[in-house]
Amino acid sequence: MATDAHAASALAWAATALAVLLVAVGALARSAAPVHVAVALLGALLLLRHDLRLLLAPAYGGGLLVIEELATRSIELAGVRMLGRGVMGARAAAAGATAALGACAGALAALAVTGAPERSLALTAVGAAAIVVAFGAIGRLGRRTRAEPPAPAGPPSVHPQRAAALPVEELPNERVV
Amino acid sequence: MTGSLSPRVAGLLAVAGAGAVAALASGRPELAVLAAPLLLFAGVGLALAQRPRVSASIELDRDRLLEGERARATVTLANHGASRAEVELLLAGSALLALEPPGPVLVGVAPGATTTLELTALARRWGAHSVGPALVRVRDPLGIRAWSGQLGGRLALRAFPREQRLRELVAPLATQPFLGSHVARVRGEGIEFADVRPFAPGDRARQVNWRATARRGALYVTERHPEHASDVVLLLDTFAEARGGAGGTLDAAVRAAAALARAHLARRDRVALVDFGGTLHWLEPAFGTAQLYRIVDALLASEIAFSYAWRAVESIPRRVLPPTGLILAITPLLDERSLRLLADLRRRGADVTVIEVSPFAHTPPGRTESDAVAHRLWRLQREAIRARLQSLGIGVAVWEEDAMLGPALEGVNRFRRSARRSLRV
Amino acid sequence: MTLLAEIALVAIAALVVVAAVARLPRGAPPGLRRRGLPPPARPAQLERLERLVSVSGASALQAHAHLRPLLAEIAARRLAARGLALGRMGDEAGRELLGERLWDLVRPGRPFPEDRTAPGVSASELAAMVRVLESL
Repeated sequence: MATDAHAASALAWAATALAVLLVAVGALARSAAPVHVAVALLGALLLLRHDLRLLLAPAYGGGLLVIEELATRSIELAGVRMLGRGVMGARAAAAGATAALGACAGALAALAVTGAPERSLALTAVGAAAIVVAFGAIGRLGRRTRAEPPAPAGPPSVHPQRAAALPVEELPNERVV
Repeated sequence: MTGSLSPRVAGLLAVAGAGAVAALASGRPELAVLAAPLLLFAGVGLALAQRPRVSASIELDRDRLLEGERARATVTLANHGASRAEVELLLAGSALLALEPPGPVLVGVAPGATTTLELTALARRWGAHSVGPALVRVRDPLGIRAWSGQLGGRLALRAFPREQRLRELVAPLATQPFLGSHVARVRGEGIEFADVRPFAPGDRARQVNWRATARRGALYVTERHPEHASDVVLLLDTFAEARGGAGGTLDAAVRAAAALARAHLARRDRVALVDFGGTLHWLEPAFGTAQLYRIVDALLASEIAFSYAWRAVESIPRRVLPPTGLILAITPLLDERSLRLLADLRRRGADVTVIEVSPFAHTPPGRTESDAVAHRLWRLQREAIRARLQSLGIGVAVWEEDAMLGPALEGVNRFRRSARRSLRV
Repeated sequence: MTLLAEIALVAIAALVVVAAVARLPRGAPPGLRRRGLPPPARPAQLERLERLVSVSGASALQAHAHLRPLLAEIAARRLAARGLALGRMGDEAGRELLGERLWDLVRPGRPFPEDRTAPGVSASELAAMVRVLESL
């Protein structure tokens, strides 16, 4: 048992280090793919625990979302030279609120699972149907291109008043013959 | 604006899907619980994201400046939509216009609000530049969708070349019968002394040279050289250039052309411009400030246009090349076509002088031994080309861009004086 | 039987997930970028010389046909500035002023090389000739 726990701990640390490396690679390469592989790896690490998995899962899931948000945000901001006020705060608040909501939804799901009967074909069918419905709906949302009204044109770009002195000086004492 | 999904959506759904399917297959519900926040985030983001209604306008505080100066660009963003818009903005501009900050700017605009950004545009070089439009990418509050497009218009910003003040110019051989600043060879009314001769019927009393008359006992009059204007044609070679990281020979050639145009027009000469290269443009000779503006405007549009076309003197309209005018060819002497043109003009009796814009500052030797030898051979070849032109009676002023142009022109004036004596130019 | 059915249900769920992810539109490109400065332009006049130097090293025929006229013109112009004419120079005077190798290449009336596969003028030989010309 002690040996198993030690091995699991070593595996967890190794996997965490790999996940950190993948996030760094994603940030350098400006690609979200390594970040998502890292998130999946970190999620799988929960299985190394033998106890309290279901209790920890909602908060752990929220934490994975925060990691994903921070990493992809850093990729988005890689080339940006100037940040306006409130930009980071607004996005962090929105992501944090969604993570909290997701954690709550996860907690509710965990509660429901706790009271559920043993594994059965019917339960598997319900689960499969839920996946099909959820991913089918989200897939449709992702491909949606609704015809929205166009944005207003806005005021035209303006030239400055031509009051500034011309940098080409007049010729002195010009006399045209 | 074109809408697209953030690359993270596919990743989020893949990870959430893997967790959900793994939970189903393994019977471990905690995997599905892990996946729930990711799935919820993607679903909520996709459901709530709405096409933004953002507009932008761009203002410049000036539309003309000298190269090396800055203009201020103000971009006003307005959000007409119902939700907050995160706008990543990059102001487009000509390649030779350095916009600060150089990269994109990220701002948030609340619904119904406007935000103003101030950027500066530095004109690295002369030319007709443009500022705008604004390239934007607008994201929803969760960063799930993005809409890209262009907002605002394109504004012109003209950067004029910095000119050297020239005191010494190439003295033309022939002048025109218009009042100007050059001492003409002919004799007439003027200030410069020419000769003393016996009085002839028609001479005016004030022309009488009393000292000579008293010495010789007969009436003698003083003859003078009048001051006339001349015709000058600036011939800008745009067949080829040498360009390094910071600039090229065309940049220097345009500055020299602008300085020469100003100096000659200030001396009441008529100045024409011929842009001779892959494309051919010209301005007929004229006087005054208006001509200076026309020439500078035409110079701003100069660029190297690659072409295999063989151009000859006949391509240039006769009215642009006055028969007794001084032709100042500003060229890096890099293309055989420009050398042929100069020789042709000279053989037709034109008064031609070359201002050679040295390409060496922009063309370091190559790294291999063979390329280093080629570079030294190139210097010798260019000296031979210069000698070839000089043997035809064409003076060549070699000008390094960071030096003053005046001393180079003094040197060519000395050559022209000695060439006149020996070659009857 | 139950197991097969469960496997089938899991497979269907997995297929739907894969299809949903695969059919998503492509993501936006990484960032907004502005055009950079125009790239350096090396003059064709110099590039031709670099090719000539390289080709002349490999072939006596190329050296005679292309390098020789260039070196002859340069030598003639530089000698003319000293009041000398390359065309009227004797072998002895030519060798003394230009050196054996350069004189052999630029002397008037030099015939085409008989052995067209013979090596030409190497970069180091050419460097020595250029030194001589620069010193004139």
